[in-house]
Amino acid sequence: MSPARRAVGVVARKDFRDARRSKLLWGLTALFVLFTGLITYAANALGEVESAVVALSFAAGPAQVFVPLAAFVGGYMAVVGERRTGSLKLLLGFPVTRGDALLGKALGRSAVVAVTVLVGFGVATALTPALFGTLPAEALGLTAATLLLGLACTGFAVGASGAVSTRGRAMALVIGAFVAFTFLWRFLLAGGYYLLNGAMPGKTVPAWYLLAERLNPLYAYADAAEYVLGQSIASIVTVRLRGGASTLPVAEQLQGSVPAFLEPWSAFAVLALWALVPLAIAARRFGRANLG
Amino acid sequence: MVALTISGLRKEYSDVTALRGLDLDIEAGEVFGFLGPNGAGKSTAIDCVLDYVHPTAGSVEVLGFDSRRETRALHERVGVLPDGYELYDRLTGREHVELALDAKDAAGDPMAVLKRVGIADAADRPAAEYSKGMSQRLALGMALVGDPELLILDEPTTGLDPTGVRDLRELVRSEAESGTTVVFSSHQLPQVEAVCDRVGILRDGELVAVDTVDALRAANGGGATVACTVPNPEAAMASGLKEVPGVESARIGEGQVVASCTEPAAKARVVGHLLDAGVAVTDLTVEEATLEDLFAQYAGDGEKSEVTEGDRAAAAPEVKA
Repeated sequence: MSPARRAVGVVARKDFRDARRSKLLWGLTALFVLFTGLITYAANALGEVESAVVALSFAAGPAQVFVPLAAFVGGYMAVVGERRTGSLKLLLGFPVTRGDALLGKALGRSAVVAVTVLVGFGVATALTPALFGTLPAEALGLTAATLLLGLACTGFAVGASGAVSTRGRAMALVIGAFVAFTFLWRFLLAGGYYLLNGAMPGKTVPAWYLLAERLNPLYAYADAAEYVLGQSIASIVTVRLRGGASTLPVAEQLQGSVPAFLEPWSAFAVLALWALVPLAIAARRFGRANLG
Repeated sequence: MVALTISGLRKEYSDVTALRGLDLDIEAGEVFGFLGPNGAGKSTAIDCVLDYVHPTAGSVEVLGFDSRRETRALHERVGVLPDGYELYDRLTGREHVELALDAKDAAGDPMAVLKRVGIADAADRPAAEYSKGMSQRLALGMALVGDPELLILDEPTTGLDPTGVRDLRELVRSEAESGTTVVFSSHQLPQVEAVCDRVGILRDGELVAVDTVDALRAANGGGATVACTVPNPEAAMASGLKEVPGVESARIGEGQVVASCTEPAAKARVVGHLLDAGVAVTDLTVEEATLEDLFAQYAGDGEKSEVTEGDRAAAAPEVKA
C-alpha cells in the first residue's frame, strides 16, 4: 500500500472510531430512524398509501433534513476542531500530510454519515415488506442516492472545516449553508426571477431556473430520488414556489424541451461536485495555513 | 553526519517577526536544547522544522529531507512531542499508541510503550480522564513509537512533576545512547542542563549563542559565586577581596560579601584571604553558575557585551524558571 493511501486510511479509521462515540450523532441517528420508521408505518396505517414505492418516497422526506444535519454536525469540527485544540499537531507529527488528513477525515466522517443513512433506511426497508408485502428494488436506488447526499454534505462540512481557522467560522458556514439549502434558496431564486422578468415564476420556467434549483444539493437529491423512484418525494424543504410544481416531472415544468444539462445525471453530478469542490478549496487553503 | 540543518530561517507574521534568520547544524546523535524565554521563537523554529508553519524565507533539512517538499519522508523518521497539543478525548491511551503504530507503519506492543512511559495502568481509560502529566507521558510514548532517528520534543517538561522530569531525562539519555538525535526546547533551564550536549539560546527570534554548557559557562566567567557571612561586610570588602587571584568581581550582600570566581580554586582562596585578614567567617555558601545565569545573561534585556558579573547576579533572580 502506498504511504499516502495508508495515511488516509489511518486518519479515516481514527476519525470513524472517534466520531462514533459522539452522543450527539447517535441522538441524530436515533431521531432519523424514528422518523423514517414512523412515516413508513403511518403511511401504511393511515391506509392512503397503497404502494411500497410511495411509502419510500415519504421516507425520503426526513432524509432530506437529517442527512445534511448529521453530516454538518458531524463534519464542521473535523479539521478546525483539531486545529484549535492542537491534536492536529499530533496527527501531522506522523507521516501524514495535510492532504492525507483532510481526505482521511472526509472519508471517516462520510462513513459515519453512511452508517446513519443505512440504519435509518434499513429500518424503513425492513418495515416495508412487513407492511406492504413487497420489497421494491427502488429501495436500493433510493439508499444509494441518499448515501450520495451524505457524501455531498460531508464533503461540504469537512471542506468548510478545513478552509477556515476558527470554529466560529466553520459553524457559521454550515449553519448558513443549512439555512440556504433548506429555506432561502427558493426565495433567492424567485427574487432573482422577479428582478429579471418583473413577475414571479409560474408552474413552468426556463431551463436555467430549474438548473439553478438543482445546484442546491437538496434539490439535486430530490431530483435524483425522483429518478430512482419514478415518483417525486414528499419533501418539506425543496418545495418549489410555483403553484404545485413540486410534484411535476421536469419535462412538465419546462418552457420548451429538456436540455441535456437537466437530464437525471446532472442531479447526481451536482451531488458529486458538492462532495468534491469544497474539499478541493479546503486542500488549497489548509495546505498553506500556519498551524503553529 | 548532520541530522538537522536550518539555513537562513525567517518567519514573519502580519504583526510580528518570530524568527530573524536562523542558521544551525545539529549533528546526528547529539542532544540539543533550544533555550529561551516564552516568545523567543523556539516553538516557531520547531514548527518550521515539522512543516506546521511555512517559513517566510530559508529552509530546513532533516536527515537529508527538505521540510517543505519531503514532509512525509521526514516524518517517517522523526518522533514528535508537540507543544500546545491535546489528546483525543474519546480515545483511550492504548488507542492513541495504536494510532501512532498504525500511522508510522511500525510493529510493536502498545502496552510495552505505555509501560515505558509509566502509564500502563491507565491504558484503557479515555484520554479525557488523564492528568496533564499523564497526557504528556502518553504523547512522549507516541513520539517514541517506531524508533525514530530524531526525536523532537517541544517543551517536554510541561505538566510533569519532578518524578516525571527525572524519568524524561533518563529517557532522553537512553535514547541518545542508542544513537537517536534529540532536539528539544525548554524555558526551564535547570532541567535541560543535565542532558544537553549543546544548547542554543534564542532571544527575540535570533540565536544569540550556540555551544556546550561548559563552554558557555567558561566564556561567561562561568565559575561559581561564594558568599561569606561576616560581621562587617564593608570591612571585609575593604580587605582587598577583589584582588584575590581568580576573583572576577566582588560585592556586598546582606551581611555577606559575595565573590564571583572564574576558577574553582579561587573559592578556597577567598575564604583563606578573609581568614588571613582577621575576618570572622560565620557561614559560607557556594553556588555553581547554572545555565540559568548564562541564560539571564544572553536572554536578558542588555546586550551580551554590556553584561557584567554584577549585572548578572542582579538579573538572575528575575528570570522565571
